[in-house]
Amino acid sequence: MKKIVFIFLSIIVAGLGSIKIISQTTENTSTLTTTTTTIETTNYSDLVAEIYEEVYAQVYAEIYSEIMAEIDQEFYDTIYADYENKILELLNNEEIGVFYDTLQTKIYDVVALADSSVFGVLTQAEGIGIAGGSGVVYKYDESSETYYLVTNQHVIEGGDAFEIIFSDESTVSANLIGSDEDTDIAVLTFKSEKTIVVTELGDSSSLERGQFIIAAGNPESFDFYGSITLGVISGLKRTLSGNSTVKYIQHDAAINPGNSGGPIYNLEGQVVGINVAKYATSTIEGMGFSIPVNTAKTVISEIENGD
Amino acid sequence: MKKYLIFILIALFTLTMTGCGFYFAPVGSSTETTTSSNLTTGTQNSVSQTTINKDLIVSEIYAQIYESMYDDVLNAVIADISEERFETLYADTITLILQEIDAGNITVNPETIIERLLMLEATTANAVVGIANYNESGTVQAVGSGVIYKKELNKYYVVTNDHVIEDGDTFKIVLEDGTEIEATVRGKDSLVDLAVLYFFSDLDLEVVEFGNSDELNKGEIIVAVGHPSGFDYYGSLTMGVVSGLDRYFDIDGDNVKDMFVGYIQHDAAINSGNSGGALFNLEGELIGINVIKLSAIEIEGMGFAIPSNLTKAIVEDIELYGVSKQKPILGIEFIDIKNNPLYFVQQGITLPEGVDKGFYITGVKPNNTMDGYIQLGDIIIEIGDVIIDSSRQFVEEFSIYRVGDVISVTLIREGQTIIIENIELKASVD
Repeated sequence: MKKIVFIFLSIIVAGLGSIKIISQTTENTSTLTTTTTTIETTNYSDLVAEIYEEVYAQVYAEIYSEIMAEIDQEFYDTIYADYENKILELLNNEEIGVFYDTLQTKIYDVVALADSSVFGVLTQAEGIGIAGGSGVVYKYDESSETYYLVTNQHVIEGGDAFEIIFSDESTVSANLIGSDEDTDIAVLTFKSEKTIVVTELGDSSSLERGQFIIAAGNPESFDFYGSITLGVISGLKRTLSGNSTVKYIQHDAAINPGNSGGPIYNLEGQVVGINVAKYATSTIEGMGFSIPVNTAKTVISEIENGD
Repeated sequence: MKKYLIFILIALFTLTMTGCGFYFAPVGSSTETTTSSNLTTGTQNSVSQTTINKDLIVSEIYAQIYESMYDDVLNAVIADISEERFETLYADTITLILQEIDAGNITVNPETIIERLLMLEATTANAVVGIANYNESGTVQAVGSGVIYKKELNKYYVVTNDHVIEDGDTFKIVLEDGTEIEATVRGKDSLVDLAVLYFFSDLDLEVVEFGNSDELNKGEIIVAVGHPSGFDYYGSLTMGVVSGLDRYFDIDGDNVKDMFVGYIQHDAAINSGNSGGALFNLEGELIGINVIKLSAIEIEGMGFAIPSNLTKAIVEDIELYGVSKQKPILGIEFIDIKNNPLYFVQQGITLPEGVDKGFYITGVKPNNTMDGYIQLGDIIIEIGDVIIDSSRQFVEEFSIYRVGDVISVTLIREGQTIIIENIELKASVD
């Protein structure tokens, strides 16, 4: 507000030169009871600002207290009658329905976790971005203050530099620890001062068809950073042409290019799979595939150990 | 509101000052002011000296400001005490209800998603009607969905997408049993893609209530209702979750993020025909109007809805004025400097020293807000209170502005930093 006042007024007085202003003690002709003070200033806008501040604050305070003095019970009653009636109607009901569903509360818990655990991965080659994907932080090494993030090998393929992108668009550079083409798993490390929560890698051997899962990632572009989709496990131990190593989890949560490397969570907030592929033709929908987390865990430890 | 108020005050203030005879002597001469006996001016060397009665000025200004400010302060007082009082009232009611529950007079039923879906199906889902768009020769050229949100006697108001009624000559509301009722377009907002129609009917039709879209959570279960692929699939209901909030993206394919709506992104299946249809929360409240989805062979489950709070503000405007006063359009085309450093290298454009963010202007659309103020090649670094970092940040922060707001723009032109003030934001020009 101040800024606007000053800019506006200084334009008006521009070019008038500096002026000395002295106020004169006279009979108090004003309705105000402030004592007349002598002010000396060489700047017109300083005076203007001073008067403005003084008057503004006074007017506000005075009107406020005037109104407050006028407020009586009737005033309150008028304002609140409708609201009161409405809310008291509740008391006439014999039954009140309250939405309480564990699925919803568990989704919220997973969303909160995913928001501080799943990030964007940007792969560059010769300074130009060539691929974007998702990844989830599964480990923090305190001694080196380093976070470990798992993503897909096809996300980092062909890159010579890697960045982790956060929801506020800030980035840190990441190191590629290693990758495995057969399973399509890669591990990156990075350092950051941000609040990052490490997600637990769960157990995919106990998964069942029909179980709810939540996919988290950055579909299409980072415009849709941190998207959440809900689905169920449609099938287990699926094979995809061209890969005999991995027995995939099939699910119907919507995933899209950019979700690659992002996790699917169970409702307990554990990662049970890493999204890697889906069928994409005009006649097919709801067929996404994830690498079971147990497969990923084996590969991750091999990569970490330098095998 | 506040902004508006402040500008009134400044205008009044300067008026008052000049009205008091608060003039300044030109250098080297003496002026006697006549409007107030307390004012004398004299000259001293090359500096003017003015003696004034500050109290008198203050009191005159006081009276004028008082007059103009009273209603606003009254509203502020009401807002202040309302909040306090509502909290007390709320707490009292909760206590009362809890007592009743303890006494066994009220039974509380925990309701699951299934029960809420059935409730929705039986109630507000039926406020979603069909809209048929006829051309001049009386042929249906488009169909979509619409939501009845208001009833006044036998007059019903329906909100839908502008693109559902686009280029139409006449319109009909289509009910589930196939009944068609003549409807009239009250107005539209092409930018946000909303339109309001009204129709008259003595039938007792369902009316939705607007929910508060600001209270939506990522992961919240939502339900879409509409007529995908036409009225053969009337009233289709699909469920999903909120995938993301406040999504801004490039809709018209010009590589610039569109700055009008922070969409709700969700994964409930929607298809053409769902346009203008409802997105509900599990309270059965309208929390969005489905408008668009990303559509390509490899994309699925990325639907977008206009949040109900923006929708509500726009339909209220349209009801009142026939047009929306919500979203101003700047009418500029620009390159986001921060995100496109290579562009300037390729184009051989040298940016001023130290400039690494801002909007490099490549086009100004006639008759829009910035027409006459901005030139090609200007680098805008501040618009209103938004210091430009990136286009994403800008569109999000700029979304607080409404048509009629007065802003200033800071830009760099030929190496000079220039501030242009008193630019009034305009609505889109059709």
